[in-house]
Order: sequence, then structure tokens, then C-alpha cells
Amino acid sequence: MRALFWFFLILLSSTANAISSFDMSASLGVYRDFRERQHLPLYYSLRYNEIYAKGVRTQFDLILNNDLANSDWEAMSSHASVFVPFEKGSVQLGRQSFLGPFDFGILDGVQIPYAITPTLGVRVFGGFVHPLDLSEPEGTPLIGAEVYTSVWSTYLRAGSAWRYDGLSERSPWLSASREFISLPWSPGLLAKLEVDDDWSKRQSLTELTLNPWDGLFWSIMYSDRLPHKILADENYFLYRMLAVTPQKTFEQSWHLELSEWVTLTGTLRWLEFEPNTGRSQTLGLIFADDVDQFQLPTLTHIESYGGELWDVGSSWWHKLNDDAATRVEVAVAHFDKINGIKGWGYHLRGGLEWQMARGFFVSGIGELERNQYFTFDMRALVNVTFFN
Amino acid sequence: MLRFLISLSMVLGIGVAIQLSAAEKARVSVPVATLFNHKVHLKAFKDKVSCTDCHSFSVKSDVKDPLSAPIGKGHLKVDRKSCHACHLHSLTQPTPNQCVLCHSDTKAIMPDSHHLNWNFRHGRVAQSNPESCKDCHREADCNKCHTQRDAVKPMVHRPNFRLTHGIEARARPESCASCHSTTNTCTKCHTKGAP
Repeated sequence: MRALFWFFLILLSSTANAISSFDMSASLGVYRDFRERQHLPLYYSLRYNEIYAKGVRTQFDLILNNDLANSDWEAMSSHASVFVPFEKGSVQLGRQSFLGPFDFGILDGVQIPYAITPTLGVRVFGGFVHPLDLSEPEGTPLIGAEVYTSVWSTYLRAGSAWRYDGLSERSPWLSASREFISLPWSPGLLAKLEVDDDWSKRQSLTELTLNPWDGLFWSIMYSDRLPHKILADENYFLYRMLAVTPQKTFEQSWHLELSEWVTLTGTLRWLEFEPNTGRSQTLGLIFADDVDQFQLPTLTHIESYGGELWDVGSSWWHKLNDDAATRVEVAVAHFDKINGIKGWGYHLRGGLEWQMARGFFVSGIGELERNQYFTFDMRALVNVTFFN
Repeated sequence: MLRFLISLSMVLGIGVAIQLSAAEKARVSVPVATLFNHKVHLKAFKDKVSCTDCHSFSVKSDVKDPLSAPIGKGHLKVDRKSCHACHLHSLTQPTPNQCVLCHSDTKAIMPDSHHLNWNFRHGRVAQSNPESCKDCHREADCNKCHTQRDAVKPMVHRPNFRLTHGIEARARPESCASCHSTTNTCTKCHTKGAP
């Protein structure tokens, strides 16, 4: 309700002196679930932005979701905000994205970043924070501040947030990142840390990126994660359903340009947490030029105490002309779950994007999935976008 | 030895050619004079933006003469920062067709960091230095992937995810909790008998 209030306030206050853009999509699907019941999901989304004099901007979106066969309605807005710049800073008021040190959520409130000098800034924020799926309608009260600066080419951020959910909880954090371009292999380092009220470590992440030669990029990351207290406590509850200790992850990724048009990508990930461990690997080959982009069969393997998944997927994007492009993707998965259920899943998705006029885009897409539970799942989508 | 040197020079030549090709692609695809419509800009800027906001008159002539030739028209041309100041910052939002106004290949102007597993890695980079994203992106770009649920190209969940998410959730539980909470996400299906 709060978001709908902001939505109508912004809509009604818009003027003819604004530059507008909107993005609208609608989709209709039909699928049979594991109980052989028919579902007709209808989805509509609208994103509307306006820019006024002196850089003032408004942004909102509205999503409507309905399963027609079961009359199950859902309406939500993930953004309804006003952005007002002033000298060296800005005020963003309303429903907006919120970026924490380890998290990304939605904030009903205000954020005020201010650049004290070109290399020193501060951000203060306050309001009610929600997880990204907006499943918590009321949100959790939150207030905090953050300082960021650039010293000797090192970006530093430090801050703290106070969250009140019956009890007041504090979460200080610190992050640093730097690229050493002049050194061999141009290493880049990123490290961040968050602590609890008693200053014990809650979660951390360290990443090293390397560029041994032109065309080869390599990253090595280690993290020790526990879902964040800035967001609703229920996120932690969801995590606790699956793991009882922090999740330690060791990840390696690489990107190798074999030629101007062909790229090899890969990711290896080892995960450890109680009660078990997890592994995932991905290997893909991409061919891309100005007209075509083939993602040649990309192989994904995921293994956990929930089972094992092998997935092979491929996609093709083709530029038909300066105004139109088409995209097709196909994937086949074999799964073997811990509860003894195993089988195959098939996915096919294709569509066309067309620029009807300058800044005016239309796209249509269809998707088909088939597997033993969602035996028949077909959707069609139409998207209209206008940029001014 | 000669064959080796010839082969080596061919490889280096190809490598250099590729680099030049990438650099060339990063520049505007056609002369700016062809792309840029001064009349349209003057109309839009009326009473809001002055000539000196885009054109710098501080360049001096290279001719060493008391009566130096007038500053050539070429010295008054703007550089990309003048274009970006409006098209990426204060006056307009960096919508997709803002970049393609001048750059035919947007991939060539992407930072190198975007090539390496960027789908998974961009979050941690954005959280440590969100100001670096704002050179090209706005909040609406985050929404496009993170909150739009019916995109032409799904960016969050893989194909067949409705069927296979249980395996991935037990491999990376933190990845689910970063966006979802339990109230609707799991119970909406699993309390109705879904396996």
C-alpha cells in the first residue's frame, strides 16, 4: 500500500515539462502442475521514468501478477522514488534500491549521498528495508551511515547500520578495493568485512583478479558468508533451513579470448557449510561478432546434498538488420534428487526484438518447458519500451 | 630462423591488428559532425545551457605571430566528456539508445572487468564502489535484471530452475537468501504438496 501511495503521488504530479520514458511488458502463460491442474499466469509490468529541469528524476514501476485459473492476484511496486540533485549531493526519497556491503534490497525511506570533496563522500540512509522479493510488506526499521573515499587509488568504504526488530542490532562494515595496473598481470584486490555487535566477524569476502595477458582474465575469490542482518530476519531463517553454519566458498573464474570472436569461459566453485558441501562447475564457449552471438553448448554441473544436476544449454542471438534481432535458447537438464526423483527437463525460449522507431522498441517471446512435474509450461510475452 | 621470425611477426601483427580493431571500435562509428544535430541541441538547451558549457575557448592558435590566425573551428570541438556530461549524467538517463547514439559497438566501451563472469561478480564490485557504475548505469539498469520478472532474456535464474532449484539451493544456500525470504518463496508451493 505504501508503494502504491508513492506511485500515484508521482504519477499525478508529473508535468508536461518532463522528459519521459516507459517500459511495459505483458505475458500470458499456461501450464499444468504436478497435480495436473491448469494454471493461466498473467503478468504485467510497467516502468515509468521522468526527468525534469535541474536533473530531478522520478522513477516507478508497477507489477501485476494473476493466476487467472485460480484468481490469485498480486500487485507490487519495487520502485517509486524521487531523485533530487543538489550541489555535491542528492536526495532520493521513496521506494528505491538499497545497496548494503553484502546485500541488495528495497528501502522505503531516504538516501542522501554527499561528496564532501571529489575523493571523500558520505551516505546517510533511513527507512524500512525489505528483501528483494518484497515478501515482507512492512519492512524492518533501519538507519545508518557510510563514509567512502579514494586514497592512493584505493577505494575505501566504512559504515554502520542500526536495525530494529524488537531488539536494536548494529552491523559495522569495511571494504577496500584497488587495481595495480602497472604491476605484472595487473592484479586487482577486493576485500570486505562485516562484524557483529561484539565486533566478531560475521561475514567476509576477498577477491583477486589477474590479467596475465591481453585476452585472459582470471579471478580467485574466497568468502565466508552469513546472510545479513540489514535485511529482514526471515532471510536468515531461509538460510538456516538449508545450512546451520556460515557458507565458505572458494571460486575461480576465467575468461579467455581465443580470438576476436571466440571466448572460452569457466567457473569452478567449492562450497562448505554444515551439514554438507556443494560443488558447481560451468564451462562455456561463446562466439560473437557484430551479427551473431552463439553461446555454444555450455555445460553446468551442480552437486549438493540435495542431489546432482547436469545441464547443457545453448543460445543464439542474431542481428537481422539495424532495427531487429532475434534470440533463441535451448537447455536440457538431467537431475537426480536426494528424494529419489530423477528425470529430464527441457527448455526452449525464442523471441524477436524490433526497434519500430527511434527510442521505441517492441519485443515478443515464447517459452516452453517440459518435465515430469510441470508437464507442460508455455508462456508468451510482449514488451514495449519507449525512451525519450 | 627466418621462417620463425616471419611467423612471429605475423602473430604479433595479428595481435596488434586485433588491438587496433578493438580500439577503433570503441570510438564513434561515424564522424560526430554527422551524428550531432546542433539545431536540435540549441532548441533543447535554450535558456538552460550556454555555448561555453560545451565549447572551450581557451585553446590558443599554434601560429606564432602577433596577428595570429583566428582559432580554427577544429579547436572548438567538444570532447567526449561534454557529450557524457549530459547523456550519461545530469540531463538524461543512460538508457540503451544513449550509448548507441555514437558508439556502434557498445561491447568495445565496456570496462575489462565486465568480461569476467560478470553475471556473478558485478554485485561485489558494485557494493564496494557503486560510484564507478554510475558512469554508465542508473538504478533502472539494476531493476531491469533484479526485479523485472518477465524479461526477454532472464538474467537471474537458469532454465528449468523451477524444477532443479532444490539442488542449487542446497549447494549455495546464501544465494537464495540474498533475494528471498521464506514467507512466500518456499511455502507458496511447498505447502501445497509440491515435492
